Amino acid sequence: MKVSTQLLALAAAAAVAASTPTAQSVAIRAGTILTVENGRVIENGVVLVRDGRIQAVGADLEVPLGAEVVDYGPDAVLAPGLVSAYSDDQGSRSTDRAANPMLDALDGYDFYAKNYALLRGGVTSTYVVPSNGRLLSGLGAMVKTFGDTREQRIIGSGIALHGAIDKSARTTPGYWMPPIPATVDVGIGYAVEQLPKTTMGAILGLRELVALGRTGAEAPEWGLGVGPALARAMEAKLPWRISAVEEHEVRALVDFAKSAGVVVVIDKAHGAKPVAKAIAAAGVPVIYQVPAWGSDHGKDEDARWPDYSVPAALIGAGARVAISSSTPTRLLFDAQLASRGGLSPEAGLRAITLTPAELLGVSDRVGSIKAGKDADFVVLSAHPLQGGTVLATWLDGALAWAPDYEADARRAAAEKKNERISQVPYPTIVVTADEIHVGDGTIIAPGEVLLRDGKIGAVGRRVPRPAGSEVVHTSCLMPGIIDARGHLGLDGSSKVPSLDFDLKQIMAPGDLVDQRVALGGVTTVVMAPRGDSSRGAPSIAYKPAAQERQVVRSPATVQMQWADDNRLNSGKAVRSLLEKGKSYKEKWDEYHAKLAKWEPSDEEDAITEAAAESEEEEAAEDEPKDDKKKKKKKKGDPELDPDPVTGRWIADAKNGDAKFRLKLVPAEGSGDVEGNLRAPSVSDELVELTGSWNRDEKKLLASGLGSKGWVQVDATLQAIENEAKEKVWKLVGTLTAGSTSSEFTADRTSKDYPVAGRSQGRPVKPEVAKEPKGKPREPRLDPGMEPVKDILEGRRVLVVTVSRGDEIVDCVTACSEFGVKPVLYASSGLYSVASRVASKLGGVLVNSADARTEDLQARGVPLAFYSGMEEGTIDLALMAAYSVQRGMSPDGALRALTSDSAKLLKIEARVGRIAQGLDADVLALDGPPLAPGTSITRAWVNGREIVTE
Amino acid sequence: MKPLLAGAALALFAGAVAADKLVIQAGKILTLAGEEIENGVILIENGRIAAIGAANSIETPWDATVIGGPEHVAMPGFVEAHSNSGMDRTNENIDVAPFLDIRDSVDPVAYYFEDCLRWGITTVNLQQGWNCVVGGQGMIVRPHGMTVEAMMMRPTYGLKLSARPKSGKSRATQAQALRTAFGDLRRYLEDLVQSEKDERGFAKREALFQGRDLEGEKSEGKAMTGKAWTVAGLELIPRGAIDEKQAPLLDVVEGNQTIYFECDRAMDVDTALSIARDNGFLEKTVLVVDADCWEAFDAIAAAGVPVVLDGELVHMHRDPLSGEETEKFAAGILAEKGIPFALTSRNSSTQSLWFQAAKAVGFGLDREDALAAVTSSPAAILGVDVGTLETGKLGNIVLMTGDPLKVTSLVDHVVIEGAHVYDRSKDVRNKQLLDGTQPSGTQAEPTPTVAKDEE
Repeated sequence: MKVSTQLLALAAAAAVAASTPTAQSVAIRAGTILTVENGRVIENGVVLVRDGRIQAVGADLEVPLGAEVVDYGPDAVLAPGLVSAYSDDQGSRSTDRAANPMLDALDGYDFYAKNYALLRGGVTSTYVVPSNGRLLSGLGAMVKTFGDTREQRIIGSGIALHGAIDKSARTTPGYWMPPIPATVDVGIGYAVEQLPKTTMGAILGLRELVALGRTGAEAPEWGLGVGPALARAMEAKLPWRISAVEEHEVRALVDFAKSAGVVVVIDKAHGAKPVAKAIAAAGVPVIYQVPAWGSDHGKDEDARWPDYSVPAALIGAGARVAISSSTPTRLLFDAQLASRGGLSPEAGLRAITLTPAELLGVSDRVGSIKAGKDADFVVLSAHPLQGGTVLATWLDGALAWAPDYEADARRAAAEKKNERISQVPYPTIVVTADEIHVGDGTIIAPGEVLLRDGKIGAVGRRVPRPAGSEVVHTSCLMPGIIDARGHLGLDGSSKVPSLDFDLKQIMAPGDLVDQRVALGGVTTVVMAPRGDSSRGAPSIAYKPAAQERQVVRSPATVQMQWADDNRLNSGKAVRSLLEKGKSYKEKWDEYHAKLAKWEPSDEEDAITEAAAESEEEEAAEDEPKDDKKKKKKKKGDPELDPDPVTGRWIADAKNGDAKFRLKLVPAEGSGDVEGNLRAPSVSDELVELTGSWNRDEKKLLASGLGSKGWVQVDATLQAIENEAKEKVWKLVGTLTAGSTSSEFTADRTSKDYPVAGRSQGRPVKPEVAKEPKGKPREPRLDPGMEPVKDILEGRRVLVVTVSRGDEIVDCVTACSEFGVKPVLYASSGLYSVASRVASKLGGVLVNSADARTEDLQARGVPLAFYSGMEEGTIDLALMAAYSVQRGMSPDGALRALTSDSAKLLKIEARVGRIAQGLDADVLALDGPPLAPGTSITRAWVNGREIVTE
Repeated sequence: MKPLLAGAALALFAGAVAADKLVIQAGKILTLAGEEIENGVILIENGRIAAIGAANSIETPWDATVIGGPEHVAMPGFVEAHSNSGMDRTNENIDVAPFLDIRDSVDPVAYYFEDCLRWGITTVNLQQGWNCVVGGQGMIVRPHGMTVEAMMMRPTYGLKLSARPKSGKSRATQAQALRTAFGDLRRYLEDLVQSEKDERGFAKREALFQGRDLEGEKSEGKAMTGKAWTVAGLELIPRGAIDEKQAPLLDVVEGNQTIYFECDRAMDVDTALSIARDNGFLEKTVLVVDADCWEAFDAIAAAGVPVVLDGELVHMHRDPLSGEETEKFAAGILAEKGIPFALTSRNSSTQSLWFQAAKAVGFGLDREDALAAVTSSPAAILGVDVGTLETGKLGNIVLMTGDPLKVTSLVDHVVIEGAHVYDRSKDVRNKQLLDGTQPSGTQAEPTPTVAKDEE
């Protein structure tokens, strides 16, 4: 990969010059140049380009002085830019008439489109389909896939008559144009049936059209203007590109071609194999379209199962064949597919370059590498029909696409985004307001708030103004809104994770959507899984728009459903979870009670013995596998780690990326290992790795397919001394991608292997300090039960989905037996039983759809608004405003959005009010809060203002 | 309850009578034609502004009605540059229908017009919707009056063409249908002239049979005056004999009609401009664009046509290479390129044009440009004598409770051509909405049923 640096520089240069033809000469060198012209192949050749045209091509050309030289190296293959004979961007909508030769494909072509996907596939010119599904649907055109202006892109307009006799063209509707108003001369009329409904009708129609074109007369039955338009097309000797799919259609079309006296090109031709000889004998060219793959084909008896060997058969019989793809971006791949059945690479390449250019009448501009033609090339790692991947695409003498080109653009965008995630110190801001709504009902008017270090430094009528603080004035100030149950951040996922899964792992720093949500007022969201689990599911309270300090509490709540499919079993799950939690809690309570009674003795010498003993016991208790026994035998050796692989690794590479990330986990019951790798230099996407882990040799070998090819990780686990002179186990090895490889050293940052919805496996045992003898033993820590224990101790919230009135009573009663005040969700039936359960409730999650919220609030039930949506959470303030309109007090609604919500969720120590020491999440308003006419003018999250760019 | 309410509302809006002399006092006057006037007075006589200036410089006639006061901000009535509201439906199903006239579709008691007054809109350009190839003729109205005739400011003004595909069409077939419409017109005119020369006189016979009179101006033929193409010998045909299905398009090609050309994407702009050029009506073209069209704003600037920015102000642009998303603020780009443009209230949550203007300021447009985009710019595009407060202009004035770009400001009074047509203190529906008070004579039904419905 000697050329890579040159390429990079060039990509940067090309990005500046865009795709305008450079006045300067460019000489492009490559190990192999496939000119396609007469099958000529030039080894170690050079192509001279000037003003977007090819000046010369050859092996021993003199490169003019001052010409820019681009050398792709001896392995690279330079081929003409591919010519796609089909485009898929035209809708299937057509006109009512069976023949519409006036329809210009260019009218529907978007000259503003940036077709990078085509360039990535090496396609530099493409035919434009006017429309499909008619006997004669219009005039096709040929364009470049890229260019600044319309004029630059057009290669030829009106280059072929585009039509079809296959099934798609036989649904032409009856044609009826009502005269408005109807007169004595022109009656109201009736619908005229049009050809074709059958293949014979289609051929008859074609014959009529050819005859019409000869005379050039107007023929009302075909529509005004059809005759003259056909005459013009026939005068210009345009090819009739007619698609025929089935064998009989192809046969009929060949017969038609022999006698029609016009040039016919058979399009699609999926069933042409048995007719190959007839096609060759008649001299009718074919544009074979590789059938769309990757979708259902149909199971009928007459369904066509894909046969990719048609082009080989046709070419073998002596026919002229071009190959197109129903998905032009994968033309190169489809051409390889179509070479099944023994198509030579040369013939295959010609079928996607020069042949289509010739058939469509644009071979004077594109299709081969020849002096005078447009400088459109594709540079590949090997022969295009032998698995070559695209290294660069040149269009009109300028580099239009290269892998680096794309990667650079992404990197630049990412860097720009990273700039916003500022590491700059928190700003110090004093917000003065006519009214400060603290959130708990009190109003300071006028008042001031000091935002400092991401927290609220002070609140009052007048606050200190530290030097350098910015003073901002607003009409009204309120705390950031809390969405008590939303889905923002789940990104559509409907998985329900288990209770010990840490939702922090799927949290991402704020993006534009999150910022908009924050500017809509919602600064904290309790991200809850969609749906409940019978074993309880966690949620997380976090700040979507924040870039740092995002987590407010995790898990924030445990959510469950009361009702069971079988209503007899309703509530069982909740009861059993609380039971389990209770016994877990009792274990701990017992321990604490014992601990309180225990008095440390002075026998120092007993300590080590006790520690050894306790470790032995624990090993036996926790991990009965023989892994642990080994550990005991070779005590003191770091190698003893039973699973030195699982976890997250961060690697320092010597070259390429400065850092990349690796996640690994051994597959169960074997020496296999799986995981994934994120390394921007080798793949834009996450690479899934599979491989092996050899425990004895401490050797890891894994590979996977990235967006730019195969990636291999080859590393050994080595003990290396760190700065503190401790021995640390590190992965040392090489990362290989294509022909580049870089050495790396990786550190394990975590022993978890995070997967949403999956339990995190066995809990990590806390380090047991050596403890004196006789001290009570700590029970085992169970991360899955910890939240439940918290609930029983009143430190965390249980959210129960329960709707029917009778079940609400059952649920609240059951929970109160455990001393738990549940928070109810989706409780439409609560109103009827509110008086019976109000005192035993932790609170209720409501949205504006819930009736009688004001009534519940009046009974003293704490309420919190929830959205149940992702970005739709932005409307939460409107829901509250609407509830006010329905009778809730404005004050109460504000509390249900902020302080009550925080209290109910037990996150009031961080958010929910404008009070000293809480997070600086505040909103500036231009009017009183919760009035529909009030809008949020500014928002701060963690003391940083939210700005969308 | 509804019909009763509507009746009461009608009584309010119809009850306004144009006073001969009206004096408007305001703490501040935004003339949008120069300096703001502090503590000013506007004198309107016979529907037009007779004098405007500082309070001490203008004498209030003894017989004039006086409204307003120092707490008010006076400014020109807002001008809606393009709207499809107030009709029963926005489009016919026929592709090419220039013979339709929007006046047959407008409903003078539509809530829309009432709301217009509430939001200070005093001039509305009503045009057909985009779901057509060639739509019908529109008109400019004042949103006040019992009949369509009373509302009309300029009848048969404007014709809708759409480069945005009608449902069921692709962009290519839409462009073809547009070209065919003009091709058909040309062929029709040529046939007409030929039949006249052959002494068959088809057109006259047809017209006489249909009972169209060929008297006066209509009995005379006129040579065609198109800028791009003409049909020789059209003077042989009396204008009244030309098929009424084709006559409106002939007007377009002759440059006598303004075209509102709907564009949804950048490529539509190119289609629209090329059709306008090919048929000689580029100078009479106004493009109705969406923010999505921002890539074509250079082409618009080069063509020198004005623009109505209908719909979203901002286009979310996703870079195809990097996947980066950036906001393209269309009004800002238009202002930067010097393209005359107007904002409309479509896609804002209300009919409030000042809300759109304020939003545009929020995105970074100059205050002057934003205010002009909802008053003087649309007035210039429509060619009506409103949009600024100057002596001699029509007396269309809005009195607001504060600065127009402030969210807390409300419209207190609206004056259209000297008639005091809206007074918030007498706005029955508004009162009912805000205070919950029932207008007298409307407590027909008992209220408890409402609560039941909600459950």
